[in-house]
Amino acid sequence: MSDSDQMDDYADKAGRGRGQRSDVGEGRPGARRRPSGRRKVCRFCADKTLKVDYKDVRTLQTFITEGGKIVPSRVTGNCALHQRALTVAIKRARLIALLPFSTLVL
Amino acid sequence: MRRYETIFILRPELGEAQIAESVKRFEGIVAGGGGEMIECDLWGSRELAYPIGRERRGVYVRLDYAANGAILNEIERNLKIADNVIRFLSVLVETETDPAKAREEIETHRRKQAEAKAAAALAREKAGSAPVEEIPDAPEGLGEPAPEGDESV
Repeated sequence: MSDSDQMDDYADKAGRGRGQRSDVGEGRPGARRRPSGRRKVCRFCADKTLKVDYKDVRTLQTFITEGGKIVPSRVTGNCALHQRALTVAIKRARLIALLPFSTLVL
Repeated sequence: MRRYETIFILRPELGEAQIAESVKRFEGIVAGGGGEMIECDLWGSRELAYPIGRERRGVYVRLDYAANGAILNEIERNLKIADNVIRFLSVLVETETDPAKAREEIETHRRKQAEAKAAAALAREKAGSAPVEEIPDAPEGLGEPAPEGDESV
């Protein structure tokens, strides 16, 4: 709680209001536009039976790119908690050759 | 005791007997140190995501067991020495476990899955020849959709 309050304090000092984000601004020069469309939800939060498991290759594969990189939560819509768990799981899967480190150069 | 999970990859050219032998060896280490096996899972030969040394395939074995740090160290030391093992990974699953309970859980989970499979097959038969994939107890309408906060800014 106190953390987020402090974050807002910093934001105020930076001249931004509470709740405003630099990347949502409309038409402001240099500001990134938020792409419109469906709001993404974390798949692991939506389906409680789905667990993050480093042995579950098929699920993990949906969260890596063709090159083998981990897809950012910004793209997948995963919540921070599950994205962190997912990152660990993918790295474990890589260690035992269930997932590639990279498929770009072999 | 802690619950650990160790996956190791054996060379693909090993025979059934050799695979069984090395699995037994590591199970023996668990038992010898006072640990308890929960499950031994042979995945069999599968392709590696990338070549390790000269190998492109490997035989995956998963050991699920209750043990302590000393036993784990002993297992890892032996995995490092063994020539047939090309890669291994140990993961802490639970910090406090009851092996009998864990085995029971696995058993009930298996039974439930088998039942669900049988029920699905039966439903498909009833529905006719057309195989329709349907999950009966899909969670629907998970509360109201969260209000869009960013839109108002």
